[in-house]
Amino acid sequence: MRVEIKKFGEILVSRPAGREAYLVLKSYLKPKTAEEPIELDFSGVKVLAPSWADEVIGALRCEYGARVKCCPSDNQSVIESLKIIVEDS
Amino acid sequence: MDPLLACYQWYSGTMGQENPQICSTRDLFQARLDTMYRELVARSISESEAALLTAVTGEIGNNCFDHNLGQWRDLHGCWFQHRLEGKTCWVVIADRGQGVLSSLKRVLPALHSDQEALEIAFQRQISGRSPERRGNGLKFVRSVINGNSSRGLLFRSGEGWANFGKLGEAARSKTGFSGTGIGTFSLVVWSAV
Repeated sequence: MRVEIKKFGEILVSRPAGREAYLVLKSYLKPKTAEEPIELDFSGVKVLAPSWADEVIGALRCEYGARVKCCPSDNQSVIESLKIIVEDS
Repeated sequence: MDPLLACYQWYSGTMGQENPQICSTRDLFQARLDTMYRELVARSISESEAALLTAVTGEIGNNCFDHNLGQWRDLHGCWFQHRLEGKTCWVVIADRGQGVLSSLKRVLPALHSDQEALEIAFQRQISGRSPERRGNGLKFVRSVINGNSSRGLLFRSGEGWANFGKLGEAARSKTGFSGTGIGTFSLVVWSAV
């Protein structure tokens, strides 16, 4: 299943906002099977900072492991933030 | 007065004084950050450069709130001001909180200097809010700015100094900041190409 991150806002920077987004996601994320990938689509997001990304992606990966995938993006703030998250994971 | 010096004096003064540049809450900071991003793009800074500068500013500004809840010395919040001159933008963010050394001492009690605390804060994934898994924000700021000839960061906390990027070195040598503050002071200089 694909999650459109832009639905949480265009400028995503703080940890409290990321945590809130994760809690909302958790309540409606219902993969059809135990193997179905969860694809995070950042298109339409203007600014992403690692604190917001860490709250969402870190928590999702704790729950769903490697099934959580980030779709490619050409937004530099998305690219650099995801790079830091991956290095730290 | 030069806005940079006005901010530095607010950060390093004995008593904090109210000022329109202060964001007393995180929501206010977020609203001004959104405005900054839209202004940068409206003034022909590429979306890519504007996004990175906004992300860097967001990390620094949110740190002021993340690490000082319940620890403010007098005024809550952070001073946040930006100015765009041609294609060069400078941003100042400062707080009157506990500072980096005091925050990191909770997890590294052997730390003994502001300088050592800054070096660790920018290089290691570590946070004074242990056991929460945090501490990648300043690493991100460093990685985006470091080695880039058109970006710079000057950061102060207590007696400690850190500067990254060519413009960070230049900012340190040009500015006449004197006196020390206990919280944090950041100057980001960004020349969009």
